[in-house]
Amino acid sequence: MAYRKVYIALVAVVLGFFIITQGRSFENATEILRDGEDNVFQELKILKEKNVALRREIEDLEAVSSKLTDQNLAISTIKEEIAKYKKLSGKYPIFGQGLVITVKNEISTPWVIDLVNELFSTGAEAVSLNGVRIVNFTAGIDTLPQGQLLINGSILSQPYTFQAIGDGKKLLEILQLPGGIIDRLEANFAKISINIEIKDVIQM
Amino acid sequence: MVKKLTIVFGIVGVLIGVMLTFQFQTSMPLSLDFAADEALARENLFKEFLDEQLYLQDRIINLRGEISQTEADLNIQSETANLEILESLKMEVGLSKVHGIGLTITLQDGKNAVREGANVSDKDLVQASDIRDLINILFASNADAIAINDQRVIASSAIASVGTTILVNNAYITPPFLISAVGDSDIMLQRILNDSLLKGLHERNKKQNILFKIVVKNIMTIPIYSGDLKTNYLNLVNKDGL
Repeated sequence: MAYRKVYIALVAVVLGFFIITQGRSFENATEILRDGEDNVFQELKILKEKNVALRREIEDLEAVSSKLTDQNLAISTIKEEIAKYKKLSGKYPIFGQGLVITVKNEISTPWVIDLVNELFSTGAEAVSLNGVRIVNFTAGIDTLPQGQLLINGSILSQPYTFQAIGDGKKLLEILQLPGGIIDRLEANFAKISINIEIKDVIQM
Repeated sequence: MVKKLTIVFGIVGVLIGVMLTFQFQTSMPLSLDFAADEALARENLFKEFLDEQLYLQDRIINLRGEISQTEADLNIQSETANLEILESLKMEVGLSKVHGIGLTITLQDGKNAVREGANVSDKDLVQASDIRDLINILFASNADAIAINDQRVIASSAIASVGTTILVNNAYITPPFLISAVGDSDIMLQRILNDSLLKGLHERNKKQNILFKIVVKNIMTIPIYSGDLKTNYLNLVNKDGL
């Protein structure tokens, strides 16, 4: 009889060991979830696309440089440059096609940062959060002691609305990839509700 | 009594089986069978792309410098005001060097870290999310300009990872990661050292999973942005007037 008690105790210990191991493995999985899991092929694809984008930028800059040396074209080139950088500066209202993501229920600052990062990473040319466009002088999301998000002096409350100007279809496709940011958000916040809509015109 | 015990053992056995199944189905990164071969192939392919990337980024920096110089040399009186506006806009989007006081933060993988091959150790590696969180704190502390390993970071800079590789502006960076920020170093320092804002990073630093060092600098320079700036989908609401 005493042997049986020992067996049961041993089995209970083994069981406890597995429960703890199991719990820890999920803990670890949660820690790495913020960045997803990718592979070498995707790595190479990104590098290839990056180099294509850099070559295009060089072509554009060479064209600007060339036009500036022509007195007849210099003035219009400066105006084009001003228009381009006005669009990027965040100080002038802009519009364009893109998508709107509405997130209901609370999410934490790191995940908001991740979603904004993902939008820029997948090709969004401009992003706003609850009406605040994210540019150099507004970037940086603070967390207040009560957990609210603060951006550029504005306290944000849910629903959180992320607007992104860019190729809406492409953005949607990448965001919704299995294991992508939307999957990871839903895996981390059980009560979260995410709605994504492609829009012809978004203004920010 | 024996029957009862048999049932107990049976149930416990099933539970262990279920646990084992879950354990082995947990989706952690799995090591590849041919890790060494893959690492070598990856290294060779990468080298070609990265060499080209470095060349292209250098070319962009040079071209932007040439353009700014040409604009400064233009002798068109009617355009003086526009050139000033242009210079100011370039500064706002990150196309001007920024000098001033600030700080540097060095993030280094832990001593036991393995970034390549089959035995990658996630806890001992600096993750893209660590860098994102730090950059966010620096921006929130009103940093004037930020760079990571000499890559200027702007609001639209993506800081991502693909496997264990970290990409800033889609450009490959390797450890140690040196984050430089020009701005009010007291405010930045206070925020970075606040445990509650960077909990995970501070905890891993205390356990020496990763190494984290901050140095205040009296003078430093942040380079101009060397990536592409796309405006294909952006339109100004008010197109007229400058």
